[in-house]
Amino acid sequence: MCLLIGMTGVGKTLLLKRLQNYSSKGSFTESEENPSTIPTVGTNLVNVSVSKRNEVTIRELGGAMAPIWFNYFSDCSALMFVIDASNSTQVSASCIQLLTTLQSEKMQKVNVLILLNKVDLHLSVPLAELRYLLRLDDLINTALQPITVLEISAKDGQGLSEVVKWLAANSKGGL
Amino acid sequence: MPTRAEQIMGGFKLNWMNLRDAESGKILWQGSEDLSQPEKEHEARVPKKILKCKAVSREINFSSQEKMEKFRLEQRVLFKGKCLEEWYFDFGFVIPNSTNTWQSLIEAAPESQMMPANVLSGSVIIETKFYDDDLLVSTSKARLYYV
Repeated sequence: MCLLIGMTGVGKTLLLKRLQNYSSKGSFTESEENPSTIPTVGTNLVNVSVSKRNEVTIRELGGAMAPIWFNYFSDCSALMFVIDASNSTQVSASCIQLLTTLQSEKMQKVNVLILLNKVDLHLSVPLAELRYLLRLDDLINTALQPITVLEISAKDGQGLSEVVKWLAANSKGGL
Repeated sequence: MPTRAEQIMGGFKLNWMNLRDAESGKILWQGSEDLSQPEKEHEARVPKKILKCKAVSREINFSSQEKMEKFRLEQRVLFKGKCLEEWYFDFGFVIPNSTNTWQSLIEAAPESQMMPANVLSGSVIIETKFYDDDLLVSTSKARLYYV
């Protein structure tokens, strides 16, 4: 099971729907309309096939559910944490949630993918600065978990094939 | 005092549901009738070609006011009252007052065992049992017509 979390409105549900469509179509290149989403107050449970014989179950938890995310930590083996790169006022909150999650005892052995989403938008804080604010380099060096960072846009599909590759490589069998 | 099962059921609503061909992602059937309500036998008209799909992806969107520790479904495909197939699906913890989507994959029986649509149509009932862990919350039935 791969957990998909992040603050409210960072684009988790859209990302999930994109991954879901990818599993049936096999690409992100087709100019598809953006699936509509509403704020998730609960969870979305989806199977994504990342390769011919490999399927990953992704559980998205709504941003509003942040205080109870930890209830789901025990049965996940991979974590995707989404941050809205265009929302500079939310970055500090994202950072705290991310660090709290990574510190959780149950999350010490999971593979972590940090996604800087919405990079198609005009960014008031450049990505390099954002990485510095989040202290991503320090985090990667000191955290016990293997951490990968990707810059993506769930809207235009940028970087999403990398996400699928990561899922294929980091989802242990039987997910 | 309502029982725990009645309490859960009272706060439970199936908002919508769809069935897709898992290979192409195309929607085969969708509906917003609450098929979880146990009082009556429901009916669903699904296209014949669903029987040709190797796997069908089902999405359920539901809301629950009550918390459930381990929400799961047991489904039986009944043909003239005899059980042809049994499926088990686990969702897990349900947050009180939440709305959730649940996608799961239903794999087809081997083609050699598949009966033709005109034989099945109207004679197949899907019996769904909703459980919270070991507590049976409700049993609902839907009769299938292949059109």
